[in-house]
Amino acid sequence: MKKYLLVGALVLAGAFLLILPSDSSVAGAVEIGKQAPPFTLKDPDGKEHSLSDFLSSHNYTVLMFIATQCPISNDYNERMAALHKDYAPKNIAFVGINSNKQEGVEEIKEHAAKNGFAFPILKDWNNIVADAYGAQVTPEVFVLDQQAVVLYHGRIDDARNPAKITSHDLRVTLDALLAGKPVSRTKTKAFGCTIKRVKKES
Amino acid sequence: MRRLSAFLLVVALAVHACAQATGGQGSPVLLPVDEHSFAQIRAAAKGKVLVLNFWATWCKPCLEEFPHLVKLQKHYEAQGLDVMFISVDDDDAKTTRRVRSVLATMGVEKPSYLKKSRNDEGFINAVHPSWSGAVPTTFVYDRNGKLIAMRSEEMGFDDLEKIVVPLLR
Repeated sequence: MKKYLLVGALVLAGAFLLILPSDSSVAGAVEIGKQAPPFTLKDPDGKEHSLSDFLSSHNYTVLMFIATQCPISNDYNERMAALHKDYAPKNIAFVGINSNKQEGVEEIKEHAAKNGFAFPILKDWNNIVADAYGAQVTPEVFVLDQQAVVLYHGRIDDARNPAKITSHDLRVTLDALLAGKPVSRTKTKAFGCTIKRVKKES
Repeated sequence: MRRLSAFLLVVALAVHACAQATGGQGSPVLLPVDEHSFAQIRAAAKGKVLVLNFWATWCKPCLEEFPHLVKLQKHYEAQGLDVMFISVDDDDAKTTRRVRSVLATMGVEKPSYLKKSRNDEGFINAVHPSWSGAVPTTFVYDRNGKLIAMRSEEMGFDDLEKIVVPLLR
């Protein structure tokens, strides 16, 4: 009897899971004002980088989930390079994270060189960090303080076409933080490519 | 502006209904949708199982899953399935032509939608507050308009069938 009850419960649980809206951004998402999880990832040369190293040596750290093949992410290549150039001297760290399963380290290395990225790009195999942060899109950014507290999560700005930008969200956030002011908008959204995740066994 | 938007949508839905009644022959019909009019698209599909697919011409996985969605529509239309495509491309003339071209190539006969909003974030949140804005994303609603699934990933025919078929019974 117990066996049948257990099977019945499992069937019910399975049916329940099937009809639940699936959105991993809800399950693993870090929250504004809460501490983001630590990680250690390798760059394309095999050198390990820990989040704690960036945090301890900078006032703020910007994590940017990016891609080599996503046209939207690629539209932001120049803007990302410019952001790094403008804000790195102000002791803000920029870290690119590539979580797309089909984009390998050689491709990432070439892409970074071609686009003049002077910040590290780390490979997130099996999208572990993307899952831990709830990152869904490329490009998508997180701004952390020295204690890894999330201060901003969302888009770089509000337009794929630079001529149509009306809100420079990441710059506004960084400028506010540098001026010691509160961040006016802590969460934003924009259209982008899905992060191509490894399918997990369920 | 909202009145105009609502009027356009009423016209759009009338065209949609007409196209469905006639079997949707001819070049694909492309209708505007924004954060104000989105809810009316869902309301108009009440009584049917609705699959809403958000895609873009720049999105390779979207184009790869497109045929599966078209096939799904053809297989299950008679049982009450409505598959609708909403492009999140820019709505300039050149891009609109590209959207129409993809719809025609994919064999979409029913009217489709093109986001026409200056407020992408407002549009994303109007569709669903939990949606990140990633494409492709597919939403599945049951006959009562209840959200059953939201998938921000490329889906295969079998994946879609698993969700949709139980709802058609």
